[in-house]
Amino acid sequence: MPDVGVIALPRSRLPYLHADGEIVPVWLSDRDRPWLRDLLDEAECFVGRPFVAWLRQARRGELDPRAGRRQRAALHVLTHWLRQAAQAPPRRAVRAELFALVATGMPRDLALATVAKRLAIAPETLLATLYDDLPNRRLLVWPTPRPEPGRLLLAANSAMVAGLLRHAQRAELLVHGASRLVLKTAWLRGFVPDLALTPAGAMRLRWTAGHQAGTARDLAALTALLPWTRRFRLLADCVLPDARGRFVLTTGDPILPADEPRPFDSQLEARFARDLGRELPDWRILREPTPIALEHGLAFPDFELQPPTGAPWLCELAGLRDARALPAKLALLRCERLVLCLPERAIPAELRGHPRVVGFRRSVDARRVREVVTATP
Amino acid sequence: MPPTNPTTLAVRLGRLTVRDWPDHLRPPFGLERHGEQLIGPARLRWRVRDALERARWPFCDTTNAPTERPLATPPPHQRPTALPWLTNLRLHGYRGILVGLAEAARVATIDQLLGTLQTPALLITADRAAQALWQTRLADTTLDVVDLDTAERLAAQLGSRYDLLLLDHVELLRPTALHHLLDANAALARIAFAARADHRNMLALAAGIGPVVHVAEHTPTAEHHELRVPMPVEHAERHAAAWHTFLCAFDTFAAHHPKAGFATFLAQARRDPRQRPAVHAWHEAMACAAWHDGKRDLVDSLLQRHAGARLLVFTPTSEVAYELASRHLLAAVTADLPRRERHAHLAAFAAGELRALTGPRLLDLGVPEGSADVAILVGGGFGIAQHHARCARVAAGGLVYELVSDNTVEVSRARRWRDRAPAQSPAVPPR
Repeated sequence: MPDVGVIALPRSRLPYLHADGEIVPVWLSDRDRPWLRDLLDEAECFVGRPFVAWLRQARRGELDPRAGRRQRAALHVLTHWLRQAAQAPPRRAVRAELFALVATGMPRDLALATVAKRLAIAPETLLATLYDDLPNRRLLVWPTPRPEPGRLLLAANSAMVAGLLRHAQRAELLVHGASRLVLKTAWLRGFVPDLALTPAGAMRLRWTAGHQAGTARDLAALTALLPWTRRFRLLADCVLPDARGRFVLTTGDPILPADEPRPFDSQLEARFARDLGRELPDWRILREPTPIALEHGLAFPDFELQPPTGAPWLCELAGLRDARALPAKLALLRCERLVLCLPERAIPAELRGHPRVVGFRRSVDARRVREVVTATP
Repeated sequence: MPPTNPTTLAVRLGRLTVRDWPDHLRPPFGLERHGEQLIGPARLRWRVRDALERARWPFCDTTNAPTERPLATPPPHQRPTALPWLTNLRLHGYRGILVGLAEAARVATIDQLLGTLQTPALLITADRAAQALWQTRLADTTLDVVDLDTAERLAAQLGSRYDLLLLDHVELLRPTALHHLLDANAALARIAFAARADHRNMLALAAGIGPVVHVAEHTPTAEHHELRVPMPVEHAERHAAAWHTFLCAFDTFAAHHPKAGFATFLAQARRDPRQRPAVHAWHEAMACAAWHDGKRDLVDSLLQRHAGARLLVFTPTSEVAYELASRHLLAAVTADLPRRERHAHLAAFAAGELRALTGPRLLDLGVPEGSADVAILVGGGFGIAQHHARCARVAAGGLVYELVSDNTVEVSRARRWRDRAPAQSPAVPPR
């Protein structure tokens, strides 16, 4: 199934309500499963026929009374899925060659025979498939695995969110957990919001169109990652031609998560998380909770260890493939509730015996970390 | 009254905000008071500036970098203008509509305006093919060229960046998008190029752009031939049945709403499940008339007859364009094609490397005016403006063949569109 994280509904297909200065999307939910199932079944009947034939039929019919405006959203996403699934024969270069030959004065049949011979297909087949690579003329193929109504409704909701966010003029995003994933993706897209940390330990990103780098499309592309954070809240001021208001997206809203991100950067981290879970069964272990601002830039501790009561601890595992990264890692120790795990060979002499530095050789001893974090309340 | 604080103008997200408006002046119509501020559409920026300048009240316009030279006076080093309509434009504060200018004259006008005003400029075109053509023509200038859809989507962002707004073929721009765009744009100078001076369009555009400041002389056009094509029997029967279904609903509607037109019928029939079959039937009837075996044979023979000529075939749909492209190996130019391939075809035609193109809409403005010897209008179409844009692609002395299905609505429509040539369209309402 193709990734639908950045499909955005065009404005004309956005189902939303505008009330009290807020833009509220009309979410698709379980009540929509029956008509979504019918929509998928109807589409499957067109397998093997040109894509445009199904599209005409789907758009020609009246709106399903069970669906209302939500049908257009689902149809848009399904269209995208089926377009991606359809295989296109390469015809662009063939067309260019054919037209160039005819333009030089070569008779039509001779030009056709020349190109068809080179491609080892019959001239009639070449003519019949000359434009079959265009999106609307491809033959409809049913995607594998088979699209399900549950996934389609979540994807339609995500497309709705992306469509609304494309009209955002400013936005504020509060994220707790998976902060590095969100920030890294944002930076890779050239989206550079203002970054701050809240007293509660969450990461706050603020973006205003024209003031910070990046566009509303980049903001929309981030939404598919948000379900992978522990908690998030996105407030966006949107300006649509017929409505201006605030759009709120928060944890638990029914949107489709992006493909599962890699949970750990290394086997070392994965093993440590598993061992620590056994050592501290009552504690909550959160990956990449929030960045820490240091002189040289931002640092992303690997784990947050939240006891049943009391303040949380941070834990950083430094593999130190590059020895030049050591000073930056040591700077993390200024944070009082942070445990730094370093390879034995890399620990400076003056830090041997530091209560919050844990040395390791092949794997990190979770018991030693437990002792550090439980020693101080 | 001596001024205390200068009035401040700011444009943000397509809205104009005015602070410290002098109490003794009446704000321009369209601005609303919100506390201490006046807020309104960005297009009112020039009215606000005009009112303050007349009252000799100091103001600070933060929209763009402040211009030291007023727009109304040309710089002293400027050469005398060779284009007479530029004087009219200057007298109207560089706000107005120029009607009937040929393509070369439009390019020269834009060139001169850029030199005179020396402000950031934006040109809006009807589609991406026209956008690509203008970008090629004005490649050595700083002008930004954007198609209408993009401009509408980015209206809020683009609104405060430019002080010269140019609109090409304004009659082909979708009215809803155009008015949204004009409202959100703060440009002081606004100039539109129109092929025809239809008084209804001109009146609607007056608030957003300005008055008609020049109507060019009618230039000779191509020789026009209407070819009546009989429909095959099965096609004619299908057409008749569909037309009957449509007329049943439309006649009832017309009886109840004698003053309403076809557009009103369509608008309400789309929402009414009982009348929707009539809309589908109308589409089917139009499709039957637009393309059938009779037209196919005639197009074949016309293409054979003008084999060596530079030829454009305007089709009703992209499907017909693909069919013709496959039958005759003409390059099709449609919105479905990848943009690079589409532009390559258009550039090849402009350079003379391709001799024939076919397509439904992007050829209307995508190839230079007068660049073809023969045009074949197969059917379909979206109004008089598009019809004239298509005919304008053919050089003076060239041939335009209009294929019309006999005994269908195409006959009267072709006559209506043809008889209202640009020169005959009244710029003012007829008395």
